[in-house]
Amino acid sequence: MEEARLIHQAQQGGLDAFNQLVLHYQDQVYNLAWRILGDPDAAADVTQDTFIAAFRKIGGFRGGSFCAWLLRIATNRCYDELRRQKRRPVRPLETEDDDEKDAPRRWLADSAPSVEAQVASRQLDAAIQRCLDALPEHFRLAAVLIDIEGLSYQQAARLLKKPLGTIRSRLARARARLRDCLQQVRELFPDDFRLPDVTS
Amino acid sequence: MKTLTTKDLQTLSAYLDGALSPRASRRLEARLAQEPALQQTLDELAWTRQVLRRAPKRRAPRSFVLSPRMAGVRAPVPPLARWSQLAAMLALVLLFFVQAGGGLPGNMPVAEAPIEEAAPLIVPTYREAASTSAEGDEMPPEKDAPAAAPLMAEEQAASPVADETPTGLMPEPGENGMFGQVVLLGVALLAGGLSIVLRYNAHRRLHASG
Repeated sequence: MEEARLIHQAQQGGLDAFNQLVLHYQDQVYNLAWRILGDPDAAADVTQDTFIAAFRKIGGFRGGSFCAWLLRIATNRCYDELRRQKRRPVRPLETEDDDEKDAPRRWLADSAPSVEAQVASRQLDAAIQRCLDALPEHFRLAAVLIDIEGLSYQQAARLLKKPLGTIRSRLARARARLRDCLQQVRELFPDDFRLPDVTS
Repeated sequence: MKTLTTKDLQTLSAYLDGALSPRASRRLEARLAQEPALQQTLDELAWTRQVLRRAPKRRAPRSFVLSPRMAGVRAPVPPLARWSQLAAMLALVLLFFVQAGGGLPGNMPVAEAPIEEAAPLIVPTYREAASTSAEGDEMPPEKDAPAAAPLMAEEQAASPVADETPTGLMPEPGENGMFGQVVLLGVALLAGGLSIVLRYNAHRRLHASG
């Protein structure tokens, strides 16, 4: 994918070129929004808003990582949505378990070949999301951006407009809380989730 | 067991990501060798990080490509629509000035130059017909027409061209002007309508393709 060419065309108003970028990044943006918000409908709305805003702002894109630029817009939209939810809290009709039970399998990108593996994957997914949801907003963002989306400390700091030290601190505390939460449901995890060797 | 501080947690977390300086890494490794609790915490944090990194990725539940309407894209205006719009505007402006000015220049007799030479002989007749009471003093009254007739005859005799221009061909006052206004209005309506139709078609094609 010639990303630079597509970006240039989109900056000239090329909607088709921009839509190719949308197709390339929509899973990543949706995944980020879903992990931060914990709600598929809100995540879908935020994803759509993110791409609309990105198309309108793409003239101001000055190079660098287009993915990080998109994720920054998505993160800001998630912040807005979280603030909106705090003002108007909404309680879903179904429980989280029901939600997970009814969740379409196509949402899981790494669909496992066996039923057991699929079940394990969904249980893992649900457990991770519950633990993420229990985190304070700032900690959750740091964990999602760095540990789930794979951004570097520097990228996350630029994206969240916070000093590097703040990001380190938030990530460390997020990991500590997630460790406590995930260890309570450790039996749900597949056998290959063993304590790893200490490597960087 | 020694309780770990927040700073310890930060150091361990950064160590996992290779974000410590070589000197800080060596210092931590020395502590890890001596403090099993620190090593255990490091292992647990590493396990947590592994779990998060292996978290299933969710796929977008639908396509998020933008339609032209969502993107706020406007259909490009066809050149013919621009010209039609320009023509309609010009026609309307002209029509406005004609109305404001009391009629088209066509109110004046549209004829060859010789006719204009003959006009002074005829104009009084028109003015007589349309004269107001104020002008009545200066203009010859109708009853003086017979007196003017010989003069006209003399002039006509002196000017053969005037003979070839029968007064019956001269336009009635306002006839050309009215016709011109109708034409201008027609042009404005047609050009404006064409412009709207062309723009609408372009808009519909864009949204149909999106």
